[in-house]
Formats: sequence, structure tokens, C-alpha cells
Amino acid sequence: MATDATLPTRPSGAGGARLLEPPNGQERGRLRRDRLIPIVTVLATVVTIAPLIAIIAFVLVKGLPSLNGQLVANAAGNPSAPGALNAIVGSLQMVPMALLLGGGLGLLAGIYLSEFAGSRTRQLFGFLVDVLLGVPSIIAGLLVYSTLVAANGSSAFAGAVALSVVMFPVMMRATEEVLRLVPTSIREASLALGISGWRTVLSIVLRAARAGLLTGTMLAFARGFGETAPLLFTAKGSDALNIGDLSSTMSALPLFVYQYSRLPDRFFVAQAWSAAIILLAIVLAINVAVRARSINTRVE
Amino acid sequence: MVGILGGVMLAFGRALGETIAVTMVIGNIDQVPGSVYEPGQTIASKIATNLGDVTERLELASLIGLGVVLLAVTVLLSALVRLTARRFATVHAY
Amino acid sequence: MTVTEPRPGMAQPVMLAPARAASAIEPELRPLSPNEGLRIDDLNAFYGSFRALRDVTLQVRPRSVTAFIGPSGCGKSTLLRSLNRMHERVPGARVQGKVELDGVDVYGPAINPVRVRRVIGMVFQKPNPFPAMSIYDNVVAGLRLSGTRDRRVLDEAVERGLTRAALWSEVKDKLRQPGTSLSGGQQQRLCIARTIAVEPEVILMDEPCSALDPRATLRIEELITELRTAFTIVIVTHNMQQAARVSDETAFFTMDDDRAGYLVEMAPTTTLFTNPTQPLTEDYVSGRFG
Repeated sequence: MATDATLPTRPSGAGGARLLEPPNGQERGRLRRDRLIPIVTVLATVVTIAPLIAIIAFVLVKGLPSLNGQLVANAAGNPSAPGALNAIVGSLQMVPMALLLGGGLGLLAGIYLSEFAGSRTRQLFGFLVDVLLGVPSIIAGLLVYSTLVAANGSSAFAGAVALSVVMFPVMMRATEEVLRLVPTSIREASLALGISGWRTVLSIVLRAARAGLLTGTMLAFARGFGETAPLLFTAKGSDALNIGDLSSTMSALPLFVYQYSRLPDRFFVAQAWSAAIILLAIVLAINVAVRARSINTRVE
Repeated sequence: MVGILGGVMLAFGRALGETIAVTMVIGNIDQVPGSVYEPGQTIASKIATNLGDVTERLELASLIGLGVVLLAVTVLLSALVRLTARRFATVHAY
Repeated sequence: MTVTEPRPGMAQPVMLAPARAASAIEPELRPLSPNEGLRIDDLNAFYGSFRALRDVTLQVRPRSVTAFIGPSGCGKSTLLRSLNRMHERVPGARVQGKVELDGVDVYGPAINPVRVRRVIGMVFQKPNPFPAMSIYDNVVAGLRLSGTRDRRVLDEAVERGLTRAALWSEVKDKLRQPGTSLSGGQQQRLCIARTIAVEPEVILMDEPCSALDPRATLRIEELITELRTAFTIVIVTHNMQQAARVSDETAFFTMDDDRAGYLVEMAPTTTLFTNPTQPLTEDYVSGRFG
């Protein structure tokens, strides 16, 4: 029990006067800082967004003039009216293939890690995925170059394999995280019904996580769609329109942008800019869609 | 604090490995640049520029060797991120 | 008739004439034969080296409601999970002793745990309908995932299960809506319907009403009283009044000094609450601890 000596002795009714006192030195400093903080954060946001706005603006300004039907409808090999169709079509073949290969494996690995692995394994593989995620994509290309390409020559298939090396950890990490968010109570409910372990995972857990899995797939796809370095020495790029021939070289949108931007002819550089618009539009659209989905689920 | 440090290291790793953006502007001159305004080279840009025209085995081997160095640095960086995250997590158990 | 004095830590099926005159509501429970219902013999449950349950021996009467009561942490949930072999899913967890359903050892070497959980179902404390699935899909989940595909069979099972769970009239027009769109009490009844749909013999309920409001609780309690004509029900609750309202027999557990749970006393519910034989039981039901 506090004695009178330790409790504050102030007259009753002093509270109101204390509220009205002007701010002291320490409070004044804090007020100044509090007013500064919003300014600083707004500035930081502007600095962060500025490159994105600059990129979009530049690409549009430089690329819109040559963004025409010819670009989209003709291949680069077309002697009279070259375009970028070979690149568009190439991306649309290699990236889905890489998604099936790398994304599929990543999905399975993520399921294994989340549902069946012990904690030691999980720690080890967690680290390995971190490493893979951080490995520069040119190394993926180098790896496939020194193995597949050395043996069989450059090919679209090699390009897809190189892309899948990049997409695998993206999908694996996304899968593992999404599955971890499914509450244990769901798994228990399923087991308590007499449903076996793997059936539980397949039909109940994966289904519960399907929204997140779709998001992970979209992210992996966007990642693979925008990668250039892995394709430099695997699929190498090609001016010819290649549909279906996976053992020859094939172009891709980012490859096209890179290669054509370095050509001496101004016309081709302009085409590179236009192709960049298409590439940027696709990748941005996917990323925005992913964001929109996650906002929807949060509102729910 | 953990997250910030980890983020910085991850960004560093990302920048280490960035190939195309760097290759396009760095000039691909094998020199240690005298100032930041002179052309230079990174491992990634060297590989990107030279791998296509490799003719001798030694040249190929050395490019791949460069790749191994880059890979090793990346792996070490990832390991460092993991370790510091764990160290900080146990110190500031929140 | 004799009163068998239970030894501490062990309860035998009690055949007794109550010390006071039997009132009209106090049931005379007929004696159980050894292979009837769920029989638990010297059950010990461990998490690694920690013993959570010590030497539990009791028999659950078929087609009736048995309540497990006792203070928090004394292993009632662990006991429940040992009955449908959910306990062993925890890494390092194991069980010693016997659990027999109608004379068959649930832990027998030839017995498939998945089958056990079919026959001994469980309803959990927090309602857990499958999130990405409609009400219809939730009810038939157990059936569908073991091979039943016939649409008519499934439709009937849905109507039957939901009717028995006293939910049909409320949801029959919105079977395609997600299971999670229902209120808490409705979700729990959905989980009960889902459990009933696979036609178990026993339904284990782990504090099924503790996450629900009083009105929903009452509805579930009414449901439990109806269901016991068709199923053997074991309900863990730390609401004594609920046990008194809903169960035919009650088993009282507590914790010893090593934090292992053990059975103190088991008796017909009214007897346990009005005329318990053990001083610990007396203390608990009169609110002196718990």
C-alpha cells in the first residue's frame, strides 16, 4: 500500500490546467518531427515510384510510333516488312513450357515441403530455395549452356529449361507459403472423416489454397516472361518464325528487345522500343492482376 | 531491423546478378575504371557479352569459372542473410 | 445390489442403488457386457517422454452420451484423440494400452487408422468447414473422397445428414453457397452433418460449443440429445452444467502432481453431480476448484 509520501500530492482539478499548458521544449521537438515524417515518407514514395513512371513514359514515347500491325503480324525475318511476331510467338511457347516444367516441379516440391517433410528437411530446403531465388539468371543460362547446349546445340527446349530453373524456386516458395496458411484444423477435419493423408492434401488442402496457388503461378509466369539472360545462349533468338520446332533456336520478347536495341539501324531500335511496350504491358498486367486478387480477398 | 537488413542484402544480391540492364550501359571494357564515369565490366556482363563468340576451350572454361565465382558469392550472401535473420530473431525474440 | 467402491484412478462400471431413494429422473443404467461400446483399458498417452494420461480404464456405453469433465489440461482432449487415433499424428506422440470398439482393438496391427476415423468420427471445438467448398460439398466430402460418385446417393446423403443435424430447413435453398458463409452455430451443425454423413458408430466431440453463443449452444445440445439414439457420443466439456444437461454418464478427470491426467470417478450423470463418492469429485462439481 503506497504511503502518502510516494503518491503525488496535487490539488484536485489540476488536470484541466495541465491540458492547456503550452508545449515544452521536448514536445516542440517532437511536434516538428511529427510534421516532418509525412513529408519524408511522401518523398520516399515519390522517389520509389519515379523510376517506374519514367520507364513507362519513356517506353511509351519511344515505342508508340512504331507500334503497328506490322510489328505484331510479321516475323523479323520478313524481308520487306519485318516485325516481332517471332518474338511474341516464341515467348508464348517457351514460357508456358517452362511453367509446366519448372512450375510443376516447384508445385510438387512445395507440397512435399509443406505437407510431408520433417522440420530438418524443411529448414535445409528453405535455405536451398533462398539460394536458388537469389542466383542470377545468367547462371541458369550458363548451366543449361554447358550441359544441354554443349550436347545438343542451341534450342528452344534448352531455353525453356533455363527459364524453368528460374521459375522453379518462385513456384516452390509460393506453394509452400500458401499451403502453410491453410489452417491445421482443416487437415484435422479431413482426417477425422476417415480421409487418408494424401487424399486430404490433394482434395482438401490444395483446394483450400487454390487462390494462392493461382497467384503463385501468375507470378512465376510473369517472372519467366520477362527473363532475358537465361535465353541468351540457350534459345539464342532467331529472326525466323518458329512455331513448334523446339530443337532450333527461337526468339522471345525480352531477347528481341535486347538484341534489336543494339542494332545500328534506327528502325530496328524503334521496333525494340515498341516490343518493349508489349512486354511491359503484359508483365505489368499480370502483376496488377495479382495485386487486385489479393486486395479482393483481404476485403472479404 | 532484421527485415531491413535482410532486404538490403537481398537487394545487393539482386544487383550483383543483374545482367542485361548492366550490359547495355557499362561499356564492356575489361578495365578497372578510373572513375565512376568510365566504362567497366561486371561478371554478368562479361559472360553475357563474350559467351557467344567463344572459340577456345580455355576461354569457355574461364567464363564458366567467372560464373562459378558469381554463384559462390550469391550462395554466401544467401547464407549470410539466413544466418543474420536467425541470429537477430533469437536475440530479439518478439 | 452393491456399491462398488472405486479405487483412486480407476472406475468400474458402477452398478449401484443410490443411497437416497431413486427419483423419477435418475436413470437405472443396465450393466454393460465387456465387449459393448468403447472400452478403454489401462490407457496411457505420451507426448515424447511426457505422460499426459495415466492408466485410464473405463467403458463408454453405446447409444448414449458420455461426458468427460475436469479442469483444463488434464488430458481430456488427449484421451478423445486417442480414441480415434488422431493422437498419433503428433510427432513423438504414442499410446499404450487398449482401446476396443465392440471388442475389436482399435490399435490392432491389422487395423487401418483411416478406417478407425471413419467409424469413430470427431467434431472439433472451433467449427472447421472446408473453406473452398459449398455446403453440399462439405457434407459429402467424406463420401466423395472414398469413392461414392453417384449423384443421387450423394443428394440423399446431403438431405439426410443436414436434416439429422437440424440444419436442412435453414440451408436447403443455398446448398451451393460456401460453407463458411454460415453463422458459427450453423457451421458447427454443418460439421456435425459432415461427420454423420459417413455414418460412424461413435461421435467424439471436443468442447463443441465453447466457441458458440448461448443460443447456438442450446441448439447443439438439443441435437446431441436427439443423436444419441443412433450414435455413441462422447463429449468433452468443461462446462459442468452442459454435462449435466446433456449426458447420461459422466467421467471426471483431474491431473496428478506429474501433470498426468487420470480418471477419478465415472458414474451416471445425476449421481456424479448429486452424490459423488470421491472427495475430489465433490470439490470439483461444487465449484471449489477447476
